[in-house]
Amino acid sequence: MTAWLRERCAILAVAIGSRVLVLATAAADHWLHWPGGPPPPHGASTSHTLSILSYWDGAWYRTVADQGYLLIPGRQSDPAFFPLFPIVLRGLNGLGLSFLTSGLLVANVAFVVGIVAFYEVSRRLLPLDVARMSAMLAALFPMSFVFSMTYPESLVFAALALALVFALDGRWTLSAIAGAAAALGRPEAIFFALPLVAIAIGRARASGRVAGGRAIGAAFAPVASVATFPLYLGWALDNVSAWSHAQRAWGRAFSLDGILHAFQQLHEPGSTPWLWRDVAFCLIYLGLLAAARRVGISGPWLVASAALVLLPLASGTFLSDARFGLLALPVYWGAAALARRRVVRLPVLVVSAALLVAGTMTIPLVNP
Amino acid sequence: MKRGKTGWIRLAVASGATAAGFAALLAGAAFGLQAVTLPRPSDNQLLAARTLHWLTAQNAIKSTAFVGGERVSSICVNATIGPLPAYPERLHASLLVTGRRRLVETRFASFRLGSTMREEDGPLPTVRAVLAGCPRALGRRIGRFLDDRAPVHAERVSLRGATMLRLAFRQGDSRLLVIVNPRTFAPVAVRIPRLRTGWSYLARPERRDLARPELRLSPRLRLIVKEEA
Repeated sequence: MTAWLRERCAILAVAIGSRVLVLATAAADHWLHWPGGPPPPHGASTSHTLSILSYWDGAWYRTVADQGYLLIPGRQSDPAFFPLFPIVLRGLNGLGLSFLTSGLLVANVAFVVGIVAFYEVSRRLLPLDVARMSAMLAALFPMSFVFSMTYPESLVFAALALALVFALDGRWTLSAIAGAAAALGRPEAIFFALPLVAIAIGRARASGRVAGGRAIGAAFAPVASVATFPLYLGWALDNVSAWSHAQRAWGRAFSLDGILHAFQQLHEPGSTPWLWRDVAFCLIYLGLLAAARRVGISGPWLVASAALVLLPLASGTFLSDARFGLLALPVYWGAAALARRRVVRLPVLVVSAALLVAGTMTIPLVNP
Repeated sequence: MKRGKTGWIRLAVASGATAAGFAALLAGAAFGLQAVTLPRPSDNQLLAARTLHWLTAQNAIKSTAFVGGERVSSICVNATIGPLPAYPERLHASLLVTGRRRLVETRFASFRLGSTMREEDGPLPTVRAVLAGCPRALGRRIGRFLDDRAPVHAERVSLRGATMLRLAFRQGDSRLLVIVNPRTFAPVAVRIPRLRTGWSYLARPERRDLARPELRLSPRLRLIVKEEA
């Protein structure tokens, strides 16, 4: 146990340190009232020191946790948000914690667990130095302030990493549970059915047998889990397409020419300049995936990650692509591969940490 | 151990069945988790959401109210307005015509249309638009109650010999009564009790209602206001 902890000590320190950095910056934002930004959407608290971490979608997750779903035609409404995070919030609220405290606690603890689980995945696939660096870079990644917000990203990150590490160890039941949980948190998790299938087939080949039913079932657990959300909405709201109706009200409608619209939107008058941050991160993610290929990351991982980064563009906007790409785990392997040389490592981590602080400061200005 | 063709098929079928069973088990658990933990909206809130759904599909509504014993008819059509100095983007609006008076109502501001446009202060223009059944204004009012998950009370009432549903919304001081057709969920009457107004009776407009000359705007106004119906 001590040896296990000693090996992961630096990673845990960076993971916890990065969260302290984000929380301290959020507190500074609150105390200094800078930068100002528009008033937060309805339901978001402004009085708590860390309240900026509950802005934007955080208010919607809180509404679902408190009052459940309701599709309100013609308006932005909550069936656009997946249920895992609100379910956890509701559970902790039942134990007496406020929604804000529950959200911050879940997000930050899940992130630290996620970083350790991600390191476990990495060290099973990559050399130890790359695995370690990728975990540290994931913790300090400039957009990783989202993992401290009352958003489901950290929970999904942890669940995905656990699903993959359990799969790599052949513990299929645990992998299935974690994969199903990830997909209940965010629909993008279904893309990781691809590497899960690849792991199941790879392990079966190595042992000279056909992949077992449990292994294949576990690989498809995220898909099965995602399918339950529209079914639930059909049961609760009498509308199985409530999710897609709600997405449309949020300005997201998947179409064949969606990517074209996403590019057109960049030049529309009145479109937010913050969209360019999402464009920049989209390109960075694609570049890092190319770098991950150079360290031997196989096709299914890269295809799943590229889909995770590119498919949201088919909804007609780049908006939030910087956040969506955070769950493309091979991105961090690509970054670690680029920063493999000892002389580059420290500057990369320092610059990342500085950008993480800057990113946290932008929360009141724009929904990440 | 060597397997024959039948053996492989049997193994594949067994694996497939196990995989499907396993995934179905997890899906059942995931569904159960959502069903057990998350609260469901009330049936009445779902009825209100259906009414809102009906309203969002409308471009125009005509209404009749009795003010001081006199019958007042209005027609309200969806429109867009802008760009305006304070609002550089085009805004969704309602163009309400009552007699010869024309009002443009938006979420942010309201304007009286004459030969020019004049901004109207206070909540009255919005109240008028709601009572006239303007799809956007009435939809926004109902949507706000649903956003706040205000309780909705529903009861059967008789209107002109037909059975209808009366939906009562209440949130703090704010109240709204809407009578809807229980088959289509179309609102047929609306009232704001706090303002002691009477009922306004709503209907889908006919072609000739939409051809009223008051709905035709001068070329100058058309540069700013465009009706959608």
